[in-house]
Amino acid sequence: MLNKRIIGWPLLALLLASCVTINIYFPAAAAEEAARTIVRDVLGKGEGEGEEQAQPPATPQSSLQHSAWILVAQRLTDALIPSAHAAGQADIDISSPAISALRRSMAARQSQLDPFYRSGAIGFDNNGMVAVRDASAIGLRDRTTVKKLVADENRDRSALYREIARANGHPEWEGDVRATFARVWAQEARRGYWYQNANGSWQQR
Amino acid sequence: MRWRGLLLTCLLCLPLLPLADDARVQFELHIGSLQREGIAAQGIELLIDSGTGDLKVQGHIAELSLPQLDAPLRGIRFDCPASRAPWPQLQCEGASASLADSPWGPQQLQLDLHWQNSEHWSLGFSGLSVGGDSLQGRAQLSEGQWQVEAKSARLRLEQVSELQAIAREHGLQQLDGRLAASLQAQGNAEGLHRLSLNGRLSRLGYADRAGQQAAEQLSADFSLAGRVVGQRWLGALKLDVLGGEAYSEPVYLDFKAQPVKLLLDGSWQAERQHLAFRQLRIDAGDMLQLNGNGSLDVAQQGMLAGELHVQADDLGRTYTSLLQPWLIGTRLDDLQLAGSGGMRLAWQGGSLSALDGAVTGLDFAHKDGSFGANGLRADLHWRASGEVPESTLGMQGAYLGPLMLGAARARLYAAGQSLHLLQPLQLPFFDGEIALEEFAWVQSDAGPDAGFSLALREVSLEQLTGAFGWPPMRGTVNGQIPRARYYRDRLSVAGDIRVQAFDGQLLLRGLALDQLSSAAPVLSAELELQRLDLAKVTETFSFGRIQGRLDGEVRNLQLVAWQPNRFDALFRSSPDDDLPHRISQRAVENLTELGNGVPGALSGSFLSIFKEFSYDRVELRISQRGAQATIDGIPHADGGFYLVKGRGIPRIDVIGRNRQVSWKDLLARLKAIRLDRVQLQ
Repeated sequence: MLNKRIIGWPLLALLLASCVTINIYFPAAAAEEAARTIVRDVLGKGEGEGEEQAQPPATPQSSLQHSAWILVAQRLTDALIPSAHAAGQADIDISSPAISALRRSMAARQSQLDPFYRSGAIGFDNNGMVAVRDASAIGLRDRTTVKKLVADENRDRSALYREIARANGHPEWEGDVRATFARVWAQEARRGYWYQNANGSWQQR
Repeated sequence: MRWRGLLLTCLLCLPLLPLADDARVQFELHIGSLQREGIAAQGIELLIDSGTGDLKVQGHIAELSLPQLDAPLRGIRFDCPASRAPWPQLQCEGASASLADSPWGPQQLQLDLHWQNSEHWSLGFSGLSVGGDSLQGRAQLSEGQWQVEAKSARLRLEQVSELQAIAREHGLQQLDGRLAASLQAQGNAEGLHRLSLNGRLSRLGYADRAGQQAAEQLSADFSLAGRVVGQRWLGALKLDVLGGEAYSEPVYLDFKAQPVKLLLDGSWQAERQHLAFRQLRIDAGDMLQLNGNGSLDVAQQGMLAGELHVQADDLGRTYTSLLQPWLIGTRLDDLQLAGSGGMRLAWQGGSLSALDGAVTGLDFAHKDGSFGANGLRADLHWRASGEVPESTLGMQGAYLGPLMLGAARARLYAAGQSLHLLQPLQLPFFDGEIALEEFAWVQSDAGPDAGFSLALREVSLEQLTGAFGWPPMRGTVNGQIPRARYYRDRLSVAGDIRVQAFDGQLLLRGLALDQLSSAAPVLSAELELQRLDLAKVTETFSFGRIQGRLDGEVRNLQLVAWQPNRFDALFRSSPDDDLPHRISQRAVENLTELGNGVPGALSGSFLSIFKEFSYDRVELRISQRGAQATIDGIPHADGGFYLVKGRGIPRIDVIGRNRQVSWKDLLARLKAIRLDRVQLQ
């Protein structure tokens, strides 16, 4: 009986040590690829058109977080099992009907925004949105029109970031999605477009 | 004022000279430098020659610094060739003065000087070169009262450095244009007490750094007259803007298309930044007529008390020019609108106290066709507190998407932060009605908080389905929403909407709309189908005939941006079904195509000679998650699933094999199904 207990506890500990919690961290590489696909689609670069599923990230973005209360058993497990890291990966799905509708809406608006991007009147800000950076570059008659275009575009962009997070089952990723897009808009900006760098300074591509 | 100081300085020493009437006297004075009360002069020379009768006075100052000027005046010369007044007075007509260098560049002036003593004098001038213009005018002092007159014919604003400095102080990075104006100012030792300025501005342009205030090619006539009474200025401003364009965040105005006239008659207290107006009138044609009186706290930019009457005979122009810019970002920022209306606004104690409005013949529609109304008429009354007259709001018709509403008239009560219906409102709706039994709107700190309850009564399903372009279904829609609330951009609905159709009923429950104002509203709902007569359903859709009863449910339905995002649907033969179970060949083929994506399953088979088959049960489950969908049915022993489980002879089973399908493919299959009179989108 005693022997059984002596053998049983370590086994139980090992068993418990294998009860792990899988935390899906934000898949930054996949999100960036997805963002690039969408941004190129909207800006009309042609690259990646029709590509609806982003490539999986080059490196796993998930890991195992072991339960703390069995730290000792975990150490033992680590010693016995060479790798206890999960190989789970998370892709970013950008194929939901709502995301597609938002992409179409943004792509349809791009031709109206383009001349104002080129004149430097508007640009990509560092929050993933469009901002008026030099209103004086807009003719007086067009200022209200541009204001509406920017408001409509930002409405779509906000909805897009939220939808990507939601469609992937993680509404809490919205901020990360937005930050990823902010970087990609700047990287993919066409020649002559203005974008705001991380410090808030405007730069021209 | 600066010129007056300069010339006074030059003439200070003249009365000191004791000249006899009958003797020729020549007097020369040379002073190296002189300083007094911030005034500094160097190289002063004065020549006085009584000559043969007329007094000749000449003066020269090499450099003169005045506290009012940033840069000194250099090379000042004054020449009075003949003064006809007895000494020590001067009466120099045809005098001249020149400056080699000044903030306004070199100057050559013609002067007309009458000097009695330092308390009584007048000085006329012409040829003062400022801003590319030649100014003329007169300054005089008499019995402690001074008066200045000046006229410009074509002053270039961009060349007046003082004006440019003021513009920069006020955030303008550009100010240009032409000014033809006439100025009269009167005052005494205490300061200015009467002012009159009128003229014309042309080709006026200005722009601030933020791009929020700008104008191009503005032309305007103006007149300003005022006088000091006690601590206040009383006066009137009249401004007629005749052409050009201006942008004042967020409004753009094309004055060539619509000139604007402004009249303001009132008083101004600078210390309190308080503007009281006996009359304010703005005339912008049929776009806007505004009349009113009241008082304004300019520092706080708020009305303290008063009344404004606004009339817009062409609300379409009013909306486009004045309202739409403020509505950008809302669903009301892209309307077509026609009609006329007026409004009275009253303020008391620094806040809005009453509003009375009337609108007639108002038609509006969103440009994307999503909603609109016509024949709107309103008589609206609101009070911050106290008794409020009843408001009414009527219309000839309205639409929301394909949903058409008939004529209706609502009685409303609006007070404080709330608005509610005084009596239930019946809205004709597809041969039935929507009865809005209660409606209340409260403006809270977190935004609008609205609640309502309504009932759908005997709504024609045939007309309703026809409006959506679907095959007409026979039946009626009845429903009760006992409680619905819109708060924090979410509309949540309690209660069931019950649709009587196909000898059975459909129940819609748990309806909620989130993020209504965003580009991607989220609709959640659940749907239940109870004992529908499949023969009537399939007959309606010409799907191919199926006899029997059908139950069903759609759980977890979620539409995002009105696109299906997720749902779990189940449709199956009703238990205890009392109807015969027969299915036509065409229905079998359609179900086969839906399940497997393969059309014409029976063609070529000997079973194609049979037009109908018996079946035991039908079952179809579809789950959607974004771009992916799953199809399922009654489990089959070999791992597939029955969509139709046959019975009898000839027996036919429709068995699906592939459960996973992309949502796009499933939609394509639905579109490919041969339905008569139906165009699936």
